[in-house]
Amino acid sequence: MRSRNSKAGFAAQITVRAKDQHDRLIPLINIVFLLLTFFMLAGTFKVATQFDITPPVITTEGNIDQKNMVLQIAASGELAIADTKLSLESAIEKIKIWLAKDEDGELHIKADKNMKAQELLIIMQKLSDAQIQSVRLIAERKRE
Amino acid sequence: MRKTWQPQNEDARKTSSLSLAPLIDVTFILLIFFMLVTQFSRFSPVDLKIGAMQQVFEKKKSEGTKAQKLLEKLVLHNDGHYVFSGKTINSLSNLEITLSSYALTARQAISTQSSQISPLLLVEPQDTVALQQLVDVLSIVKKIKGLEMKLVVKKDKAAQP
Repeated sequence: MRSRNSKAGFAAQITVRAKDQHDRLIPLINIVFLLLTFFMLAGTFKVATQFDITPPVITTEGNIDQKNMVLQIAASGELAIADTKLSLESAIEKIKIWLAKDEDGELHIKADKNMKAQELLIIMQKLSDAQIQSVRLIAERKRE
Repeated sequence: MRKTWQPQNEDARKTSSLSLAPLIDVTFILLIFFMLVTQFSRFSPVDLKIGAMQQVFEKKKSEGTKAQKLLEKLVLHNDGHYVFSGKTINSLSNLEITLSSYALTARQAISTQSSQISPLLLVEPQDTVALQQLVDVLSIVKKIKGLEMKLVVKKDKAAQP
């Protein structure tokens, strides 16, 4: 009789301990879910780029449509579209083909803030000569 | 005969609850994934309008003498000074003041002439000027209403193959 009682008491102890452990995990799970929700809502996905580019900083507002083609220009002056390095001529060809498919599309240039401005202007001049007129530069927004 | 699952006793039924460990594992994996792929930087577009110096001058010439008067050139130098309409400006804040007063004067001139011509500012960075310096100037010009801006390539650079 005594042994049966002690077995029942032991099982009850285990149940209480397991329940305690679950209860102690609930705040952890809450915080992890909150963090997860924050990262899902507040951030945007990084886009893979060929070069490590630090864009120039600007204080004015504006929005960028992620669907547009992005021409990357490294500080060294190298060019890439998505994850492919290109010469200016082949980049222009690729942009023209893309613009022919998407008439409303516009070209975005993601250039390093340390590159020479005149080099960018020369590239833009060549794009303009190739009838690629709608060009915008991507800048990182900084609050004043 | 059909068998149905039943707990062996009351204690066993109490202890058999849903395990939280796999849920926590999956949540942590999702959290790590989102922490790694998320970026918080916000990006803004900067409109760039480029024009060959010669073409711009010719266009303004065709518009007449009054239009030519509303054409000014801003040269950006590497050491952080600017030359606007022959005057040297040493800081961005002074540049903003100068350009604002120029835009105001130009707008008043236009309104008295009741013309459709808008003042045009040609921005020419020198060879060694970094892109960030140009963008700083562009953000100032963007704030000033009624001032059209075009970037110009240096003549010798534009001629390069």
